[in-house]
Amino acid sequence: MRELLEAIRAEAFQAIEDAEDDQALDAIRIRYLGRKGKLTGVLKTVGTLPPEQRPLIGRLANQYKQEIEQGINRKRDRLGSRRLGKGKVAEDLSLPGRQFHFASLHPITQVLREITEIFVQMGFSVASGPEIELDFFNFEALNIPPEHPARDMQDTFYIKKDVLLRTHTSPIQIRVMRTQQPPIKIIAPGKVYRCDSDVTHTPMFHQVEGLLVDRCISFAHLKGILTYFIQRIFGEGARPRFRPSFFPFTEPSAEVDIQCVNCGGKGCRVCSQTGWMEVLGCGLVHPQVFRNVGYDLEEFSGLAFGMGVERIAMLKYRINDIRLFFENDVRFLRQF
Amino acid sequence: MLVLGSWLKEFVPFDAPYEEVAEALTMAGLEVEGIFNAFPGIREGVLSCLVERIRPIKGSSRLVVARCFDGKEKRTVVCGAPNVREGMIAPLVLPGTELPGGPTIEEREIMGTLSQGMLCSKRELLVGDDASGIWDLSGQGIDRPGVPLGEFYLLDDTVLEVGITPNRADCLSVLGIAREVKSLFGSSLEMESLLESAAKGRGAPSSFPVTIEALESCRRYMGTIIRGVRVGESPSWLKFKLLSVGVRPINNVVDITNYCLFELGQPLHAFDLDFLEGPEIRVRMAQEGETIETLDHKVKRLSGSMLVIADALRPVAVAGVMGGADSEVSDRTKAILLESAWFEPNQVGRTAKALRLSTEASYRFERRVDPEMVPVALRRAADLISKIAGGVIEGEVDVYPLPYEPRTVTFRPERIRMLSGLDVGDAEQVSILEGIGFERVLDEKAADHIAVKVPSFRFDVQEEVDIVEEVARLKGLEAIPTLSPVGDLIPNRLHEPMVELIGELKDALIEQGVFEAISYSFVSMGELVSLGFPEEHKTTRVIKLLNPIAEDQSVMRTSLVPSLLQAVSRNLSRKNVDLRLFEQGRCFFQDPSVPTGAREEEMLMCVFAGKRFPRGWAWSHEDVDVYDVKGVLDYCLRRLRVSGWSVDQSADALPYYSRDCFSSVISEDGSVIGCLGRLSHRCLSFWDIDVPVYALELFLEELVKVQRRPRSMESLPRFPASSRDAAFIVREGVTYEEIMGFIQGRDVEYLEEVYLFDLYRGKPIPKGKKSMAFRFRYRAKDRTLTDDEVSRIHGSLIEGILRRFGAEIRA
Repeated sequence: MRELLEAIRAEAFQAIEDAEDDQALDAIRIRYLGRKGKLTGVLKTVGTLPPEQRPLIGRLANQYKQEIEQGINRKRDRLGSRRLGKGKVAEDLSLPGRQFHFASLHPITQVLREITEIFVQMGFSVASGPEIELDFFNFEALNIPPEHPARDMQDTFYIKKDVLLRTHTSPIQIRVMRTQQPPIKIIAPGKVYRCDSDVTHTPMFHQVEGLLVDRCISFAHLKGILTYFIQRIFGEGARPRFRPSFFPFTEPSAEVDIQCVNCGGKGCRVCSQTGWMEVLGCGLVHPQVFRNVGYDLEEFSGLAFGMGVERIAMLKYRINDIRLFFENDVRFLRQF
Repeated sequence: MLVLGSWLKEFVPFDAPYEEVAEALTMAGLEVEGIFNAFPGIREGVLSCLVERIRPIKGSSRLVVARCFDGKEKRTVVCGAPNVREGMIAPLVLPGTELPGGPTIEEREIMGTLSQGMLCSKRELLVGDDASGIWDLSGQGIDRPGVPLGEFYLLDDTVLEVGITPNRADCLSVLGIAREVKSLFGSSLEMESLLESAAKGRGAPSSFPVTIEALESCRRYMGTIIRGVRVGESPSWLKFKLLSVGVRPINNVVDITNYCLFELGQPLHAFDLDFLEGPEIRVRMAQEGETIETLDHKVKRLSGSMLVIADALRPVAVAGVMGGADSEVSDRTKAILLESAWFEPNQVGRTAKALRLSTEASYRFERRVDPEMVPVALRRAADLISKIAGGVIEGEVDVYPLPYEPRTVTFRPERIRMLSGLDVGDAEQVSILEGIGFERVLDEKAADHIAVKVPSFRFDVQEEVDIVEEVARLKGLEAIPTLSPVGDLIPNRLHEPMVELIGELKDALIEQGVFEAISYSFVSMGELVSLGFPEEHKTTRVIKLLNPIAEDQSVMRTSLVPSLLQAVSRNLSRKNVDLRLFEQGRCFFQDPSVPTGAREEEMLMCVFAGKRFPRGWAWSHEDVDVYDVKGVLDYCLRRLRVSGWSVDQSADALPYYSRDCFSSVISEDGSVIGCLGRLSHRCLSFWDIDVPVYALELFLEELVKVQRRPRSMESLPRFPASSRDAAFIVREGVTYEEIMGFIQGRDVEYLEEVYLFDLYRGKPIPKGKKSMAFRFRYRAKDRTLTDDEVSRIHGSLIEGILRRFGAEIRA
């Protein structure tokens, strides 16, 4: 008897599995659970069994009846055929939703905010300065006297003899140090200008300058701060490489490279086969800069760094032409 | 700077692969920007070939046509060399190959025969000086065709491109780079053959007259006279070296001066002695208006601030920059005066800039040369000239009134450790410095100090901190630990309200679906003039760039209108027609009270064009209008919690707005914080925009001063409100603001809120009138108002409105 019940159950479940529509399920219900159904038939014969078997078989038959009933309902749900009632049609939720205007900040602003946020979390304040600058702040106070060959590194837009468009955000260092005593911990984002225009240069771009002056600041702190920064902005896996370089207002000076985001360090066209990409310049504040602002060289030391925001945005977002930033094509802006 | 590998190895033998040397140089601050094959074409493009058959060419007594087998295919080559013979293994230059310093060989027809390459001599390949005929390779142990020659000979050499920062002019030479390699790899510097050559080239003291009249600008002037030179083509090895670093060979004398410049970093110049009047040399300032024809055959007009080398009568060279054409060394030259000097860097820099001439010489003088290298380079060149061009060294002059005094720099090893972060002992610091040419000077005075003599070529090392750099870069920045700074937690003393305001406004605009644009700060004068302000207006009195890149980027913007309309115009031309853009940035105005003469004002502008809603099934399809920008204004000011502001429609429209759609925005205390409206057709047509553009401008320098309401909670009401509607028919001239102002002025009891819910014009409302429907909501704080009470208060308010505005109730 038990074997018969189990066979009926298995047969019923196979039929449910094979059913393709509501009608088929209705037929299954009638075939197994209807008044003349197979399982009903078995239940009717329970009375003929020996008394000691009756409760067991009865319970089993009822259990299977329920299971088949549930199986039919589950399948009906799966077929998505719950009735809506006459004349009703389900909402087509695949239609695009009604979203209000979407907009985003310019990718440069987004990267600027990201950079700023990282340094603000480290306790830096945000400073700013004029874009039309005096030669003194942009060059002389930064240990770049007239005719210094380092001026050739930066093609300057002039307004008049001693007035120019700042070529870097470094003059803000001087403006802050002239008005405040250490400790100083600032970053200074802003627009800067150089007479240069091609696929990798635009006459205007953005920089973020950083300056920290306190007692006993060393190159190790510079490495610490910038390594943390690089890993926040390019990911934990980014390994910065500090390479000695030259800036008139820092000594020692270094440039910081990361492994090429395009080829992962193997060498490609993007990184001129070197596997590395330069992301920022840095160093310890040159004593001449401290003398120029009247700081005590023996008591204080400082570190400074500067980075191009477009360059970081290009690396992060794989933008291949810097000019796209300033064309303001909404199809470009919408992607960020 | 380009450095030829084999040349470098003459001074510092190394076995390490070039990649390793490049890496070490880069990490010591001499960034190797590229590693190239010296002559990449040669490597694959010259093969050994078998000359299989030779036939004369009709009509030529000299030329033959040779059938050559290059290991893969047979080629016909026209050849004129006397020694070409069948069975010879000879070098074949394949078509498309560029010979060093020579032409690119192409397939071409010679006297009716196709020549598919070139058989060449040793000299043509710069591997020797034999030009008498085809190079017979069997003598080189090559006995089969198809062997690429580049791999066998000198020509397979490597060139390093090294980026030299302005402080490291001492590395603008093979010797300079060799010194660095030596200190990095601990090998030895091979100076013997150089010093031997210099010793041979030393001339006996001569009485040739040299006067330095400008001692400030020329610290040392040396000259050597060589007579009996035979000017001609340089030997191949010399040409090869020059070509490998990108210098075109001219003649043996000039090539040798260039050779010494690249080898030792000291620029030299050779004068044709017979063309020097006197003969004598005067190092003097130019006379105002004096002219000289320089070697590039251009006549330069000199000014009194330029230094020249003159003979008894006239300038014969612009000192440190370029020689004169008159006294140029030529085929006819018999005797030369060879010059080696030290010119003041700024002097040379200024002159080169003023004459727009930048030469290998000026580049080095500008960055400073080693005064102690002046005699070495001179004598080395004299020796090479006498060897290669013949001639006798007659004598040498050295005018050196203030000889170089070695500089001593004192440093504290403890300070070096502190600043670099490196744990490097006193002895190691000294040994690092000695490795790069410094010498310890014993100084008994101070126990914690070390004094070192700085080598004459390291003019960049001036003080203690420069020693930090030397130790750090040579020990390697990799070795420095990474530490977090430790300090007191000091609150920010910099608080810039403008920075915060800008941040909040940008967020508000993004939330309103406005994209941010960023444009250049410079525009064209024409664009600003097109805004229509009078000539004396601050918008038109611009700050100009002295050296703009282009005319359309020549003045600093005084308005964001050109920036945004450029963006609108560009987008429209690219079929992006639904535009919601804003830009935040500075505008620049003349202001004599600021030291730079420029006042910078933060501005914000927003423009709308096209459809109001995103295109799609779920939205209605109206175009934007001025109430869209008005809505953005409402939102921004609400988000900033600025209250009590109003629009002033009576203000004169800015000239680039339509007069019938413009308003100023006034703060509670009366300052003008912005404006909005529709831009005029006249203005838009300047940018070829033919769709309506609505704009909102915020004057952030004013807005930042406006008081902002603090956030403070009001209790939620506990009793129900009663609402009443009323529609008024009023004259068109009556503004919403007037009606709202009147209602607020009445200070109606229990009136909690009023808003306009419908605005209607058209039938059955008479022309010249409009219907404005308001909803009024009344509520008491402490009880439920009765219907009667509300009706009484409301009735009296309606009565007042009707009377004040001559309105009627719309039934």
